[in-house]
Amino acid sequence: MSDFLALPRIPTAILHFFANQPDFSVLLGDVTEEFQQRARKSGARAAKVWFWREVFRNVLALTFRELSRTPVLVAAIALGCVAAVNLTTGIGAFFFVQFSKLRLLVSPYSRWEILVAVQLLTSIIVGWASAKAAVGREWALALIFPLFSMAWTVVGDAFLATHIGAASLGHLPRVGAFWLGSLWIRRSKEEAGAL
Amino acid sequence: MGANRLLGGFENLLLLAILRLEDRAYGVSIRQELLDQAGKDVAIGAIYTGLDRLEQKGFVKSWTGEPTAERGGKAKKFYSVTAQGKKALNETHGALRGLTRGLEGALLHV
Repeated sequence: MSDFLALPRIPTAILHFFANQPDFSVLLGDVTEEFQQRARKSGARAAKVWFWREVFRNVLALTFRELSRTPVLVAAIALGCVAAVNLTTGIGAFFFVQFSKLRLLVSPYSRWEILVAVQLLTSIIVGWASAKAAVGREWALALIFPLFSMAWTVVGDAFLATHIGAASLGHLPRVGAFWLGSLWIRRSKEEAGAL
Repeated sequence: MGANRLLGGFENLLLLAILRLEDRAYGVSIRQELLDQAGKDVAIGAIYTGLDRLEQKGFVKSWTGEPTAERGGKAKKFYSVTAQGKKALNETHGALRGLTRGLEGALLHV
């Protein structure tokens, strides 16, 4: 078709974040068709403005769709991930305390750096593994994980009053690393054309 | 009447739009029908969320059409209401008629 107007790149890329959802190809076809109709009727500029607005509305709708598909499964996996990350860090902390008691390897200051590194690495790995286990629900997982992580932090703060700063500081990097692990999978699958 | 078969508001609108469109019901036309007849401007993603749910319940069935150039080579997905879906619509509208009977005056004077 000679008067086919290319879709705006940035909003199309945003929309492709949901490429692993069922019927994504059909949905993309629908917005493409309506975009072309609007471009012919009202001009390219109006069609582009409509497309941007439509993409943001669809991001909300598709996020809700992903969250509502299997909420219990996603919540269970997210809870397991938070437990796994914290359990690993806890076991790591135990061993580092043992090392420091023996005055080997690490000083009390570098100990925290190592613990943070362990937690970040674990979060990336757990994020990656959970995304593998919950294909098509990576985004829902990435949204639910911070809620459980925050809840864990609040409970942890209540029990370990002396480590409030450390526990709170651990939350954001942990979430960031988890996102990196879980959402990287989503992007890489999309790029590989596996969807 | 099986109360568990009563449709939600959006499901009701979707089924009615598909029925009105007959064999032309797909994403864009359903969205346009909802806008023209019900004044509801719904994102296409929300329409597919609702259609997913209706298909799982057995109230609609779908089939894939041919890809077209205007759609960037993507196919259309057409929907039609099943007998079970029509029954659910009947039950829902029967319940609504029952509940609104005698309220015509009150509803007109809003």
